[in-house]
Amino acid sequence: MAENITVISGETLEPIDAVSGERLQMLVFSASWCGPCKAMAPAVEDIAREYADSVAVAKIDIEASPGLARQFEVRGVPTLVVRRGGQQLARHVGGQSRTRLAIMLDKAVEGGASA
Amino acid sequence: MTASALTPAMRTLRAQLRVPPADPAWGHVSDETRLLGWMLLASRPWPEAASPVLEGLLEAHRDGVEDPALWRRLRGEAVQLGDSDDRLAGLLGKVAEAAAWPLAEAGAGLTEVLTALCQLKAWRAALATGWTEADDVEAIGILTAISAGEGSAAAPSREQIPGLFAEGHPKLERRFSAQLQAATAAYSACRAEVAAWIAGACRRDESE
Repeated sequence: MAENITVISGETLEPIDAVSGERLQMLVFSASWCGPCKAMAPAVEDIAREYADSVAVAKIDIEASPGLARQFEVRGVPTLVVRRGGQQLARHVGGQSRTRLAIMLDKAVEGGASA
Repeated sequence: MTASALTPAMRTLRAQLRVPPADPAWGHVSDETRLLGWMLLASRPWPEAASPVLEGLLEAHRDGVEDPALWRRLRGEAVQLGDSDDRLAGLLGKVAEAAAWPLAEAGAGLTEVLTALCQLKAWRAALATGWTEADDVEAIGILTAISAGEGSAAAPSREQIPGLFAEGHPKLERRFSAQLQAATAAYSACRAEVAAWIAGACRRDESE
């Protein structure tokens, strides 16, 4: 796992809250059996490194953290949630290319994303 | 391998296999970049809407462009193509999206292009069987309804779905299975071709 990604395996976001500071948070809900999640993992790692100054990325396994998955109404994986200060700025369900991830984060960083 | 360094035996074999001559414009680039260029070219034929986008990406990789603004512009063009209503153009857009980053330090740089290329080739193989976008929409609609249990007391198990599809829509199911088989074979062949390319490059490195 890339050093820029926080792995959450419990039921709270404390690990990502502790390191994100003023940065946006991108939560990546995935599962060990999910093919698209595996396919997207290198892109997420690249994006986490590329946006390290503005976005903190957390990977959450829905089977290890079912409570968080419920809290964020995850009905399919991968699900990506971009948030700041507890407010959801963007959300995407399904595999996403690096380019689309970057565009989603650019919009969120600029404050133009809608939930 | 330059043309002048070829032995007569290799020249004859290459001609028989229709291996195109190496493009000297790519002579200076790394194997990774050469592979990326090869995968982009393998996505041809390009319709008019896709051609400038993919040509621009080829040039940017070949010339080792570093300007972030240019890459952002290329990504914007790729996304526009990817959003096309035409599925084939959209899949070419996905190839372009995947290739619209400099390769240096990008872990996903080649895997994303590979996946997008194989998906494109799979769709082309499906179309070659006579399958159409409209057929695809219809089949997905039927399969979704069957899996939701529409018209029956309970939702069927995953294993029952193909049989129910064949029972209710035999002609469409036969064509669906044929295109699926062709698409799956094309997807696997695409991966194997890229693997062979890499193995060839590695063999050359070992012999040097």
